[in-house]
Order: sequence, then C-alpha cells, then structure tokens
Amino acid sequence: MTTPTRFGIAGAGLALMVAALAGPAFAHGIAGKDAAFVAASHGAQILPFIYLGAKHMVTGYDHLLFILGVVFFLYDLRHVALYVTMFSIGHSLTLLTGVLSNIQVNPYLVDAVIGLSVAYKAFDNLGGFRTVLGVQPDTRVAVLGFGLVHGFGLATKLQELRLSKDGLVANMVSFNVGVELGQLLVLSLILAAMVWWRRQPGFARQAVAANVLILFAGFLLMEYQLAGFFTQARLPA
Amino acid sequence: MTIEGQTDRPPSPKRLALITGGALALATVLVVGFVLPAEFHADPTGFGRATGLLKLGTPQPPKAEVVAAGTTANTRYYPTAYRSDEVEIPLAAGGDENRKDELEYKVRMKPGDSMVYAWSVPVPNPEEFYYDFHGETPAAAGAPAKVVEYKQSTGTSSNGVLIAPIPGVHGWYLQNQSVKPVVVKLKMSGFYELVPPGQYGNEARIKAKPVS
Repeated sequence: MTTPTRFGIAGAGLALMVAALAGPAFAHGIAGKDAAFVAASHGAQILPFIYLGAKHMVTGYDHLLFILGVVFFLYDLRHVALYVTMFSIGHSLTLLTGVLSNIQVNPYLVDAVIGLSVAYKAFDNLGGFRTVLGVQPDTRVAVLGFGLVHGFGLATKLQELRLSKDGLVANMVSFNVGVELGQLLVLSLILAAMVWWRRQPGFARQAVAANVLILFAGFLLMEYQLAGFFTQARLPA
Repeated sequence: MTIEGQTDRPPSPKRLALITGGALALATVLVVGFVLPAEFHADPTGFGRATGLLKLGTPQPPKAEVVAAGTTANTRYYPTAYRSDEVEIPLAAGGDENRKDELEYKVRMKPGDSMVYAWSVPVPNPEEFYYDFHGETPAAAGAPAKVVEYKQSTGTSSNGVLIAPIPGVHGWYLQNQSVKPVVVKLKMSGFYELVPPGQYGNEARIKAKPVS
C-alpha cells in the first residue's frame, strides 16, 4: 500500500470516530444554556450535573483524542482499566480540591497542556521516547499527571460559572461521576472501533500513520490554546 | 510490569524527527496563518487581512433582543419644542403680614405633555416647608374648575416627572413656615409653556430664566 493511501485510510478512520462522537463542540468549555443552568442552580441537582459531566467528556475533541491515543495499542482490557483509573483519580482529585479551595488556573494554559498530552501520547505510541531517549517513560505516571491537569481546567471553568454554595459538594461529585460515565461511554465506542480496525489487514502500517495524525492534532490543539493565552488580553472580556 | 503499548514498527530516528518537526511546523502554520486572525484578532503575517480571515476575529457587539414594543406607557412624542427653565421663587418668612410667605407657581400643559422637574429650598427643618403639587383646568362658562391632586407634603426638595392628565396649569402651591425668608430653586425640562407673569397660574409674577 502506498504511503498516501495509508494516511488516507487512517485519516478517514480517525475522522469518522471523532466526528461520530464529538458533535459540533470544540475543546471543552461549558457554554450557552448549560452555563445559565449552572449559574442558576441552587441545591443539589444530581442528574443534571451528571449529564453535564458526561456531555463535557463526550463532546471534547481533546479528551477523545487523548483517550484514543492511550488505548491505541492496549490489547488487554485490564490495562485499559488501569489507565482509565489513573486518569480518573487524577482529574477527580484536582476537580474537587480545585473547586472546594477556590484554585483557578488559566483555562488556555490548561487546554494547551491537554493538547500537549495528546501529542505526548501519540509520540509515545510511535515509540518516540524509546527512539530518542532510549528509555520508556512510565505511561501510568504521565496519564495520572495529565489527569491532574485536566481536573484543574474543569475546576477553573466551573468556578467561572459562579456555582452556588448550596449543594456544591453534591453537584461537584455528580459532575465528576458524569465525567467518568462519559469517559466509559467514549471508551467503549473507541475500543469497539479499535478492535475492528486491528483485525483489518494493514493495521500496523495504518496505525503509524494514524498516530502521526494524532500527533499533528495534538500540536494543533496545543498551539491553538497558546495563541489564545498570548492574545486574550487584547480581547474585550 | 510492562504494560506499555507502542507500535511494533517504530519509525527510524531520522523519520521520527521529520514526522515530529513536520507536524509541529504544519500546526504552527495553521495557527499563525488561520487561527490567530480568525479566532483571536491577531495577524502577525498579514495573511488574515489579505484573505478576510481577520474579519472573523473582529469582536462584534452583542445583538440586542427586542423584548417589547414601545407603548404610551413608556414613550411619548411631541410636536412642540423642548425647553428647559430655571426659576427662583422668593418667599418671605413664615407668618408674613402680606402673605408673601406663600404662592402658587404653575406652567401650562396639554394632556399627555411631560415635564421633568427638581426643586429644593434651604430650610433647615423639612417640617417647616409645605407644598401642594397639583394641576387644574380653570372654570369655564357653565363648568366648574377641575383639580387633580398629585402630592401634598412637607419637605425641602422634590424630584420627579409629571405627565399632565388634564389640560390647564400644573405646578406647586408653596408655603414657607420657617422664621427666615427663603428662595426656592426650581428646574424644569420638557414640553410645557410658561405662564406669563400676572396671568392665571403665575399671579405672583415669577420670572423664569430659560436655559439654552
């Protein structure tokens, strides 16, 4: 198979998977009437916040790409479960402590690091660290670290919406549960697609091409957010 | 435990460098050329201005939402000219023998005409100044005078707006009950006519000073 064809197939497969899951949302803000709902909420709103958490996860390109990168070469479901647990522990910790202790981080920087995480995992999938450094960094630590950063981003965005103190903990926990559920939903769809893809002839070659595209997408997301970070002062609030 | 999953066909170091560098460069080109002008209104290369992408990134004022049409409850339109006047109304000390401690000052208005006003008087005790804000249609042949009461009170200042309910003259009866002579300072703006000194509504011959 020629190189352009390989990229074409890999790209079409990736685009289909992302488009099917992502819908029109870009990156991961909480916007429009959802923001209005959060701002107007008083008291515990268990199910709505679970829904918002799940929606946030399912409609974020950056999360989808990161999850895709993480599970791309994981063939054992126990390994999948381990990585997902590391990621969940990471973002649960910072989401809850971030909101409860009022820590705010610049959302552009957080999103840039999430973009970087996408590029990091794709580079890792290409065997880049072993090729360049000669050693394989522990992906569990990396996933935990990126999970921590992600949770801070979420905490910052939720705080911008001026959450009501009334029912705060219940709503935060609900939101976090929703994030986990959304993650599992996305993960099962991606895994199903990956299982099918791996059985196709030429997967090994397409996989390299696909990770090159994920690497590019990660850089693009990262630079997009960095552009926002360095220019945001010029825009009216 | 080794659970890492990477490709079993890692690119050669040279190829890896090419891939990574190429991806980074392409992302930079897209962000600098397209994203910066279109999303963040920054155009370091001039490409955004040349292609119109920059217009996408120009902040737009939020669009207004029409929630209701204007009604006579909140909008009025007048053919008559807008005017503003400042009036100084002197009053003698309370209990004056010639009753110069009280007078009426009014302006002429048609029904629906509006007038914004503010007045104040330097009497230390607000209990010692009385006013009666009202409007009246003078008696005509066969018909008695009509009076509409707006406000009767003691106090040393009042700000407000009047939309005349009846034709005729509208204004204040003012009474100084303090021991010193005072001057009431009144400002008016809107759609009304002054009553010439000596005529009904301005028997005290007060002269207003038009403000241009």
